[in-house]
Amino acid sequence: MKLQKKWLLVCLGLLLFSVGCASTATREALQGDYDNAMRLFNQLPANAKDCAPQEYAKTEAKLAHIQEEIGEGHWTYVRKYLPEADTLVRDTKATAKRKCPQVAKAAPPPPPPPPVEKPTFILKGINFDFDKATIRPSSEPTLKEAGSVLKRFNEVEVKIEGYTDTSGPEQYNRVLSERRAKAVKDYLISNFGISPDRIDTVGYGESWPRGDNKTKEGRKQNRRIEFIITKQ
Amino acid sequence: MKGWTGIFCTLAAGVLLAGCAVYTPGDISAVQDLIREAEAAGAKQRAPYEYYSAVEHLNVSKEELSEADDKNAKVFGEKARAMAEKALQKSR
Repeated sequence: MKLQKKWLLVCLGLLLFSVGCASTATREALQGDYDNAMRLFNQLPANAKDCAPQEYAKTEAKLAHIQEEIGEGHWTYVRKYLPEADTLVRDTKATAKRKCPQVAKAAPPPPPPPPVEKPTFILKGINFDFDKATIRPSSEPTLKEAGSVLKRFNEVEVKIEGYTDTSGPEQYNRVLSERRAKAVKDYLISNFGISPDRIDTVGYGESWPRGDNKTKEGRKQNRRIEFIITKQ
Repeated sequence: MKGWTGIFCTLAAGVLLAGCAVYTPGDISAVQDLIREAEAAGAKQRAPYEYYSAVEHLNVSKEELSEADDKNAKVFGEKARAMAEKALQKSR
């Protein structure tokens, strides 16, 4: 009986592990699909904005929406919106071609890929322990990834937004959230030599919670920092 | 009594300031009005990209607001406002 229980736990562990892997793979696939949609959008004929303004604007807004959802880790919405974006890009291209055939024909072939690498990345946020603004060792790989990206793309500027759960006084939490944002900034400066001018910090305290503050798991999600790309 | 008045005023000010951080259906309506104004000025013909961009960004803002995502509702609402203002400017 004892042995059976042990195997049951091992199987459960393996199952959870495989679910985690699938989830990461799905995110990467969705990110890839978004990148493809963006590439198609950027390859639209130069006259598309003038020839199909309505379709062009709709596609642009949809892609911006998806980008926000990716930034916030709302993958369910990303999955929902991506097929729409794909269709919209194709519709825009078709409408532009129909409305301005002569210009579309005269448009030069797409240029070769630019030599400068276009930054396409996601900067993931990290979480903190209760009432702490110290970076957990487990968060270091995430920050190292962010540091490498900032080092690689010199023009990128970010804002680090700090947050807390609702435990404790609001004013205290605001200061704590600022300390969290500042701790991450200091980490990136000291470990990657990123210029302080490229990193802005702000503490929003308990505002805009990610999880339910009534549950332990929700509060854990809320003790966080998020990266916002302010210049790309 | 004086102390209570002070506390009340501080709380009232706090509530008012907190209100500034959220995006409300009223904000959406204001942008909607601006878009209507641009349309009346002929933006659909004179500044079609700006006009439709305002409309589409406002649609996203409404969607975000309906999902209680004030932050994104504000981001897209402000973009919609900027585009509506641009459309209006180009149409006058």
